[in-house]
Amino acid sequence: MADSPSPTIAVPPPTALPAGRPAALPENPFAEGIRNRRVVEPCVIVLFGATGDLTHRKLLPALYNLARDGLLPQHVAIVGLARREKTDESFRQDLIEGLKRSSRSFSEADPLWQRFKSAIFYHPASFEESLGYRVLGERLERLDKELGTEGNRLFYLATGPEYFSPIVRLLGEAGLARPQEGPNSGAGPAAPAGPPGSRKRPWVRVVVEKPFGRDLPSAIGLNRELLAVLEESQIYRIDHYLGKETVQNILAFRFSNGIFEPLWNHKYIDHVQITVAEDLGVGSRGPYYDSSGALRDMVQNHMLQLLALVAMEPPVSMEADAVRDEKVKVLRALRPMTPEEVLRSAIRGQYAAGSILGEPVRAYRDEDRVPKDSATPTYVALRLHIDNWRWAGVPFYLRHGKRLPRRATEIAIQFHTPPMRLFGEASAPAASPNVLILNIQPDEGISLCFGSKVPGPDVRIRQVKMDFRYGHSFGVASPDAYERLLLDAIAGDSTLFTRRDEVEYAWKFVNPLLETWAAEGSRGLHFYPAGTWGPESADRLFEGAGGHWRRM
Amino acid sequence: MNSATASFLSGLPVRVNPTDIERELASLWKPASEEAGGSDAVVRACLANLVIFFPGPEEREYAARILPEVSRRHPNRIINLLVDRNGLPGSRLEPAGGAGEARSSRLEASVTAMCSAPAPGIAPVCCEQITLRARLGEEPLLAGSVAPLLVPDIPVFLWWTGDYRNPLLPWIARFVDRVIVDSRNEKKGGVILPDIRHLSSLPEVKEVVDLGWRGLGRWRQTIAELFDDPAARRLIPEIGRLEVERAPASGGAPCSLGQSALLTGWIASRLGWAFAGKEVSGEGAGEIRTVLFRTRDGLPAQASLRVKRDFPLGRIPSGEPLLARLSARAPAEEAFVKIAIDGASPKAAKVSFQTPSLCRLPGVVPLPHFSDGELLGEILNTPVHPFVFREALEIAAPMVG
Repeated sequence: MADSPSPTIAVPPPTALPAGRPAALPENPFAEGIRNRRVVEPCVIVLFGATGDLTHRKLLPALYNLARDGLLPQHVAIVGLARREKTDESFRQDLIEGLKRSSRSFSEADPLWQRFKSAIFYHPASFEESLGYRVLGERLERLDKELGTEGNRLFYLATGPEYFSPIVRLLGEAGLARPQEGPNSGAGPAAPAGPPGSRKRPWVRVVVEKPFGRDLPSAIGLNRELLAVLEESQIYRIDHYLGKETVQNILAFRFSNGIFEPLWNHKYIDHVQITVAEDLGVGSRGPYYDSSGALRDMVQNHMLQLLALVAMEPPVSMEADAVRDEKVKVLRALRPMTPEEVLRSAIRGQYAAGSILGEPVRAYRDEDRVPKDSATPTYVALRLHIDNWRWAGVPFYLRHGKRLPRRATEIAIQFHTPPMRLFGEASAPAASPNVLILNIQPDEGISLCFGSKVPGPDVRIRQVKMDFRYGHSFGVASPDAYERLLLDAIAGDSTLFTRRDEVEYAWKFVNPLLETWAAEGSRGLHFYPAGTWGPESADRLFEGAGGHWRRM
Repeated sequence: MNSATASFLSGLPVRVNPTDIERELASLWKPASEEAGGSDAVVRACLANLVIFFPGPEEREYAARILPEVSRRHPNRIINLLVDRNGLPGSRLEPAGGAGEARSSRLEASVTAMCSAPAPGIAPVCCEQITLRARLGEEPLLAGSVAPLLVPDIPVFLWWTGDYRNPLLPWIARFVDRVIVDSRNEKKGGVILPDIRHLSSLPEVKEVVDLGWRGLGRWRQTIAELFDDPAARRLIPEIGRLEVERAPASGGAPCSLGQSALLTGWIASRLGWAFAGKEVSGEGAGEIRTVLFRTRDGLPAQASLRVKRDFPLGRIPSGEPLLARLSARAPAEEAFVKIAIDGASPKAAKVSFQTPSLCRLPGVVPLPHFSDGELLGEILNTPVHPFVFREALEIAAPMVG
């Protein structure tokens, strides 16, 4: 404050604060016109699996970036929980390497880091012993008092899936899974904004990492165990694909433009291809991957989510349940596969030795700690149908593989060819159809392929491509998916998290594939050289329908 | 690639015929497009038209410093309108198609590209910059040159760095979607907010956006977040006093009042206060501006605006807010909400909130300073809520006028 006093101005005598004011609370008048405003309340974020790779590589850098952008609540604490013995200080020190690698701009000398780290704590405890949870509860209460975190809790389960259920059960037994009663709080689960005049009651939310189950029965079982302790509204099942800007843009593209949605149906669309290609192998994840495989690792979650976003009806609003209701309808409408249909419409493959970018690459069965006779698919191609009015007769082709020539994720909408070849032989070969391509990664953007006359006296039609690239139009880096998802979980927005029924319907579709392939063993497993686009047998999914896998 | 295109892409101005700019641009871009897929390939991008008026070289130099940042974030066709007070030094420019080609014109035109590399290994993204120069006194010729050069179907912004009462401004404004002004720019000694208010009332002007206002974004957001707390909202009917402090200028020079006044105007307008008078005491950096308001209930309220003279120089640009404190009126003056920056960590603000029955722990929120390039890029990229700005301006203008 400056030392000069304010001049005195004659104004009417001040009024005193009225005693016993009514409870009616004014709206926040300052909120109007504030862009991207979301209410993030003070909270403690408890990271189970705090010494793991995900915490160091993704979660803490994401939280740090959020803090740097001023998006975290003013009063926040982060408690890392894992079995290893560490102190607060040694845990903070351990985080630095990950932050240097993964944060957009981290410097140890930055005053922000000095402040941020003072709110990071470490709590050594076993995930499966109740004593640690009671001590955790006491510590969280102390933090509430010291840091003003107001009893709000976000528990993030960045652990192996075998711990999800025990952790939630023990949180429940320790009284940590429900908001604590307080002078201003109500009982029961977290609720949206309270009525005017009341203070919001504290909330408790639990973020559950993938994999959520390994088949339909285990997913149903896990849901049952979590819901024995928590309300559905407290559970945030994460699928980091949904946090990607380009995935969110699928809805923006479809529903904020007038020209595409009228064409988005069986009348105009011939088929849809969704490709998630990876050039990497399984690396050090051999044992985990071998028990999981391409179908569980990528198709059941990420790819069916992409499919749902492409195929869903317009939601009545962008609220979480409105969007998720529409996605669930798509998953429910997936035509179930009989064992015979699995053999006809699904191809699985495994990479053999080959080369990528001039480097020799070993076969999947030669990867570290992978059985030599493994029948785990590293490649899956599916032809599936959505039995509803919009998509009747439109095949959806999904393919995912490891050790493909390059990393690329895209959704290609292929439109019908014109009803007749007006230009005869002048038309491009096979009267090249229009294709709308949504590039999800790495070269994020949208392209439209269409025919154009080649300049000259004769009539020749050639396919050309109109490109939009995020990087060319928006010179600002997109935030990491975990930043968006963590912020949403803190703000209580579950739109980008999967609901119980979504998970179960996705497993319900995938389960016959798992069962049929388990029964078949290595029979029907197609090998493909690393560095190619998968087994040639995948082409047969197009037999009878015309078309082919897109060359990427 | 020919030498004219190479000069053009390297950022050197290439002189072109003012009456045939589009054709000349096409001929400069063509060799670049023929490189598609090759190592010299570039991407030509354009998301909007950005017309910029410069009354003199000083403003031009300022803009030249920040435009690369703007173009990186938001590639535009930039149309620079310059008034040359010393004649037209055309000899500085390289003619695109030979010196003899340029037809005589009372304007002089040049074009250049601005390129930036989005990431290693990715083709540079380039946009074009057209510069039109007019002799002093012939500025009206510039107005008629703008419309034919606008890329259709994309937004048009006009960034006006000169006098907001210039008659050329409404003439050009009729072609544009938003006029960009800067309420922080008071170096000529005048107070600028009344001029901005006048500008926003012109029928030719669809919308005014202000760099100074955009720079207050984090302040407004922080205050809004503080009042998400129900306990703070309960204080709203009792608020009767506002203090705003701003960063000093070097040498005790007067510093811009624009942002402080807009912040005050915004808080007052959100609280439903009406301007009722002002009083100024002291001079220069010691000036204290006390502003009187009437609340919706007819109660008196007041704001004081001053320079925080003991704040270390240079840590925060002169004129930017350092403190906003909203206090209850007597007898509950000890109830307040406060956001304050201290000199030790100028990129963060300490926020505190206290009532007679409650004291929230002070928190710290990042309050990063955005460069002018970032602010301008933000304006080009995002929608605005003009009524909130207009309401703040309505109160702020008489405070400084």
